[in-house]
Amino acid sequence: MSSRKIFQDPLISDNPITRQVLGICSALAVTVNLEQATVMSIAVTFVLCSSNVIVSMLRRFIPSNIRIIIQMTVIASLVALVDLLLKAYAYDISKDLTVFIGLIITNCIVMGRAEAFAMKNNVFSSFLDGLGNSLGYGGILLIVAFFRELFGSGTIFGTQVVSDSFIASGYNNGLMLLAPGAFIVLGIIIWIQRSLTNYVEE
Amino acid sequence: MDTNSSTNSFIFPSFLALVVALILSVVAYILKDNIDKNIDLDQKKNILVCAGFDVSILKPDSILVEYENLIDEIFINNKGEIVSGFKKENLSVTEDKKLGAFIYKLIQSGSDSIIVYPLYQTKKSSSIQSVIIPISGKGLWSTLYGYIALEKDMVDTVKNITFYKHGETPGLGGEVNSERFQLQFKSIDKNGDIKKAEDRKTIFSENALESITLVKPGLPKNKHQVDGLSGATVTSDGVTDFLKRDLQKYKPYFDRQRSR
Repeated sequence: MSSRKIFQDPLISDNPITRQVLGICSALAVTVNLEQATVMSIAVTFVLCSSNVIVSMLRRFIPSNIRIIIQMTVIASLVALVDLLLKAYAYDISKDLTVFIGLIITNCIVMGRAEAFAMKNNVFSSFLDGLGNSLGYGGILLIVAFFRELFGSGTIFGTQVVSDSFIASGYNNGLMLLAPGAFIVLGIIIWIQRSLTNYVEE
Repeated sequence: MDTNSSTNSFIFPSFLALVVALILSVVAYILKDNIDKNIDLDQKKNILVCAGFDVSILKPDSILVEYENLIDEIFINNKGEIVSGFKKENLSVTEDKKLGAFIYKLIQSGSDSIIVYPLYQTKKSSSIQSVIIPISGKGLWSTLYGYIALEKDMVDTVKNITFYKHGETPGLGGEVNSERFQLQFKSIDKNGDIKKAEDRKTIFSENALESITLVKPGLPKNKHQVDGLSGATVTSDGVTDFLKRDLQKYKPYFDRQRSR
């Protein structure tokens, strides 16, 4: 597979959220506003790229009978690192994201890519695969967060974009701030993508 | 080398564990100062917010300045008297992990150490007059840490409640930090209008300390009850318990203030 394809596929046509339907939990949890979604995307990008690179570097030495545990150790350590960095440099956001940073460990995308790709491919391809998948994940997160923040709070990145009179007359859609709102937005995105690509689940 | 040999199954993970443990502890050590500074700043911010000041537009440095200008940190003993004139080094702080409570001991020369309780007051010159009591205790999964603010004159009417740290389930127990829950304690309603006196919550009934109880949401409530958290009974009961327990510690101090 060409490098270009490795990077490009997970962005849209093989997107981890809309196509592989992985990492849904965090896509529901951290998409109430764009700021949280952005930090989560950056955190996942860091963890996924690094874990893919490290697992790929170690792939010839990892005993195959305990490979999942080794991958888990690598991922968990990286997440602990991200958690520490956020606490030191973005304390308020780390408080808002609470347990969800820790839950990157259980994000199926990270583990899935380590096991399915990084264990079999060289370091550079694994890095591209990690980058592609995390950007595909982050992209969907940002799209969902954009609609949820716009319709739920009338703001974009915390800046109000809807006039006060609209908000006073009940513009805010409370459903968008709750998890079902994310399900609906996500469902519509998957619907649009599948009808454009004529993809049908077998 | 055979990577699948059973010796390697031991050596490889041990080596990896050692390496990552080393990296993480070095990073944690380097970042410790920064993290501690953030936690301290966050606590001070919470005290200011709990007292009733708006700090949302302030930068970190100015929050620290405002805190110094507005808040007095005092310690009282179990008779409700203010303890002063001691050195910070003589104060030892331990956390009772089982109860989730901090214990402040003041080591005095020549006598046994005495237990003191920290308390925050707005300065006399300040436009807002509040007394802020630190509260902490067990919820469902974690210890919740926060503050409750009372009106200074009779230390009876509740002004606000905030939590600066907890590990409860987001959306359930985690709602202790939601606007909706905290509005019940506030002096203003959701439109920012000042609440009528009969809508405010109080901790005293005559001279008995009633504290605030979290009850099942939707039921009619008296002046000492607020709506609990839906789907988080254990967290609600925990908050009720430690509010009562922590306020009780300050009862002698409250009595002194009230009889003045």
